[in-house]
Amino acid sequence: MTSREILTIQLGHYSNFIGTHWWNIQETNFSYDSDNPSEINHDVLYREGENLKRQVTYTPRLLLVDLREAVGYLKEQGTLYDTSQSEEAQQSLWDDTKVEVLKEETVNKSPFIKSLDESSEAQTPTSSSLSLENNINSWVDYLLPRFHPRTLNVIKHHKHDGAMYPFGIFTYGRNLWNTEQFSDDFSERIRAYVEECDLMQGFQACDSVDCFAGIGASCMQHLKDEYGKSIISFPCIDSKRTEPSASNMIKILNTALCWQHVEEYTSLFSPLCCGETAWPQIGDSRVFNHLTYNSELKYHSSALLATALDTLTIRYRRKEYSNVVLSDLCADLNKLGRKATATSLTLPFPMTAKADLIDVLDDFEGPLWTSLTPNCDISMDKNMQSIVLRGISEERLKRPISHAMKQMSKPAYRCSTVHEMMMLYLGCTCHASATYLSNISSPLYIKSPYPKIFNNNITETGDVIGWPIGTDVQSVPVMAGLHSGNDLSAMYESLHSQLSRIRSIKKFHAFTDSGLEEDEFNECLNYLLDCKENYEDHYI
Amino acid sequence: MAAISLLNPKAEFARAAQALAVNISAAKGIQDVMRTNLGPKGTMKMLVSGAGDIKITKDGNVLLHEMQIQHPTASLIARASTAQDDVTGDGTTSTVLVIGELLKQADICISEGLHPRMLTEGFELARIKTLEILDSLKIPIEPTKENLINIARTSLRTKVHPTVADKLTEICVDAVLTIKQKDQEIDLHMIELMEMQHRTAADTNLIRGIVTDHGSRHPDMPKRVENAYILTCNVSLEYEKSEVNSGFFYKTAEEREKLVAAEREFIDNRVKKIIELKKKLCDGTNKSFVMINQKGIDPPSLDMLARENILALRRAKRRNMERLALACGGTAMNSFDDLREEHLGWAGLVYEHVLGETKYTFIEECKKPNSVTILLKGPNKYTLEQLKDAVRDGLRAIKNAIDDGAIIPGAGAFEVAASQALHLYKEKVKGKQRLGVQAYAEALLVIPKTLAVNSGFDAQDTIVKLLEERSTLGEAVGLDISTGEALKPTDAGIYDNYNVKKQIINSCTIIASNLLLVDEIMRAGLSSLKG
Repeated sequence: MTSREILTIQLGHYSNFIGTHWWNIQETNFSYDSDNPSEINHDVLYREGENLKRQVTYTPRLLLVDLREAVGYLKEQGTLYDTSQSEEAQQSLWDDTKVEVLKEETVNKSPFIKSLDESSEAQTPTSSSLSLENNINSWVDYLLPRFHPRTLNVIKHHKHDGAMYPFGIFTYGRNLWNTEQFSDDFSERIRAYVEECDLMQGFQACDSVDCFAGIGASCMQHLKDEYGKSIISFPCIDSKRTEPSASNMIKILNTALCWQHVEEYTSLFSPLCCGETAWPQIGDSRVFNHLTYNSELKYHSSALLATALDTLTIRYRRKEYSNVVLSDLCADLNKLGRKATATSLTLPFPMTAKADLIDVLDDFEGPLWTSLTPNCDISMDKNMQSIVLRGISEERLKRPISHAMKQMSKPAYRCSTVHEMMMLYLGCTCHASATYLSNISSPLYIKSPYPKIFNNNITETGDVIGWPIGTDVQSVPVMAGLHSGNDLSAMYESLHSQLSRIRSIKKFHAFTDSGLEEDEFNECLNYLLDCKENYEDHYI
Repeated sequence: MAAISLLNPKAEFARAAQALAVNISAAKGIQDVMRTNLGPKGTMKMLVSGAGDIKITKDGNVLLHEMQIQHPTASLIARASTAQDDVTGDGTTSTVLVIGELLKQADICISEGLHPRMLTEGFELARIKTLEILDSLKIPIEPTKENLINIARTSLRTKVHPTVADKLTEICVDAVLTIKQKDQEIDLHMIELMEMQHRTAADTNLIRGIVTDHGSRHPDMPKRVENAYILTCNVSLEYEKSEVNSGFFYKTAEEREKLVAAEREFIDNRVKKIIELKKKLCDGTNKSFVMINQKGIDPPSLDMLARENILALRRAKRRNMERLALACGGTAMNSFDDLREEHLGWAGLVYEHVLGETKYTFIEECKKPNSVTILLKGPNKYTLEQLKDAVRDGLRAIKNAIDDGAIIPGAGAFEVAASQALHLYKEKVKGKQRLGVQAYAEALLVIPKTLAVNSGFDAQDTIVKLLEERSTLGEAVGLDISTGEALKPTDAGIYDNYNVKKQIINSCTIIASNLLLVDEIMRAGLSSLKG
């Protein structure tokens, strides 16, 4: 059976943080054991290739964009496809005596990356000595996979923190895409990836909500026009708090424009942020009962978002059901103009040690999931939802009849699979909802550089126990989902009320100078209201 | 105290002389960076990034992009240079040099008390005069191979080593002449530059046909066919489930499968139409069939096509569709209803070349190759980039020459002539504007001066020699960079583009004038914008 490929596109600094964690997680979850193959079809997101030295490569089918400073030591071409310097005919196209060498300072690698380089496959790096939290400035500092030469796109025109032309305006991004050089090059890379695919199911894009959203919007328009496949997009917002200032309004304007355009061109999108609110300011961080994390650190918050992404995308990445594809997911959720969805995450899925799923579900109290979509809480009822549960093996479903004792009296005891029992549970707890559940038995395996964010009452295999134990968590059951329900109208409403505080965009020179017009702004305001209405269902 | 600081105490500002000094020093700074690059004896710059990425270039435009110019004035000049490149494809270094020199000369006058306004008026007079001189030096040409080779060689020799340059010159001229259609504007998009990381730059060659960077995706398809019908189309041959049907509505997986099978047939029928046509045209002859699709082709369709020995390429570049129609004839099809022989193109030879994981497909021996491909070869990425930049500039130079129908003598001859004529003209100008004209005349000489310095000669010596020679001979004289003596560019075959020079004169004068008239620079407003 051919696998149905997906091309991933990461635009912007924060989305690359998330992406890096995601590829790291996937690499950790590769199974090299032929007797026990992975339940996930990695060919969906990865590609096999061959470099000029006839070595086989296995690299992410990925395009990413960032500014020059952010990519640090990464070579644009990657290291996998290097032709070694020695065999190269040292033939220059210019008189050698007349070459002036301008060398930038070599960028230092972070201690973690150095330890990767030094320890070849023989020993895995021990991260205990390295404090990753303090050493990470950019996502390249904890990047495990190596990239194909096509993957990395560097924007040279703008500086990361440049005072002169800060790259933080939606329309700047759009203008950059409109330069022939950039869009030609980028769309050519997309085409080359797509050409390799036998039957691709679509694109998933992760874009930061700043100027990169502008690139993202144009890029998705291109994808939609050119390929007509399903596109799922995750606009993400960094949860680092900032002082209230004029730039907050700029962010809100960026966000609204991003939502508007993404909505138009994608099949489905879900905003991501670790804060409870993302506008007008970043709010308190989302609470997970068994986690302690610092939402100010991109390195921490992005790991959570990556976990959610990795888990919820399993629906269309499984080996067993290769016919279940992205377009099904989109078709399930994007009805009635409801293209925005909320992402939820349950990390870890709270299995108590030595207890079975049936008991865990029975004793469950409080909300089942935590929302990762800003300004939007996910209720249990009235949702169209797609949920993925990983890490509950069939053995932990219930006890056999001979030992069942009290379990016998529970109605869920007649369920014979995890899928069945979970569906029964969701059917009972979620009123007026339609649920698509996928589950795989292998948990999420965790290895450095995944941050240590679990509380000390989590065991090595991710079970919750009543006393502190303080081991490194190796694997963990996770549940994540996409939910489409009327809670999202709250998100639109709050964004609209914030955006309408802007009386006129004339105050925002940077936007007007780069081509945003009053009409477009008003259209955006109306769009937010329209969408809000789409999510309101007036049950009697 | 400036008015702005009353309103916004945080605003930074620079006034009058100080503002001018800021602008002039920026212009000088950027001039210094670019100065050594000018001419065939200029230096190349090798940029090594922090990650170890190499880029070798002397193209002013590329350098300015790579160096991330942050100074506002410098970046204004850089943009002028970028615009120069967009319009003409050459002369970016000259633009920066001339703007810098104009400001330098202006600085001298202003420090003696001249008002910038007078100066800019003088510049304006000088600009008009210079354009007149440029027109008088124009040499009308016919677009013949010999003429074009001269102009292309001049441009290319400043970008790559002479041995490579001469080879590229030939290739560029041939390419342009092949795609040139009578009385129509030349579309350089019809010359594709294809990179191949392979062998050396000297192996670069011109393919009179199309080269694509992808090949067939089926092991049984032929790798080489002759006498081929070419079908170009934009029709999807892959089955795609629509987003219309939600998964909630299906009870079983089997139910779904049935629907898939039914929709699949729809695609199969399209493939069958192609096969039908192929059988009609090719069976029993020595002809073969190639299909090039802009949309996808999925494995079952590939299977069917391979069984019929049809070579099929998927996901062709959008631009290639147009080019294929030009090179091979035929039309690009958007549907297979009513598919006939006259819709098909023709190529004598189609074959595949594999390099690492990339496949290249060569479509050659076309009937009337109105679109060609320059196949760039080089051992590594940065050599390829360098070649590509050079070839692109070479092509632009040829196109400019054909569009203008004229060329002008190179090697600094124009600047020398213009400078001298301006000195004469100065006498007729009344008032302080005369100083502006004089400054302009001096500034233009920066080009021959820099050429001389870069070739290892003394700037003053050379200029004196050239001016003398010019007044005695009364015709265009340029600098011989190997001897440091004067030469006749027409004898040596050194020519420049007319519109490049024209653009330089226009844009440099305007930018320099604008910068001179700035009397206050302020920076205020949302400094926290970057947050």
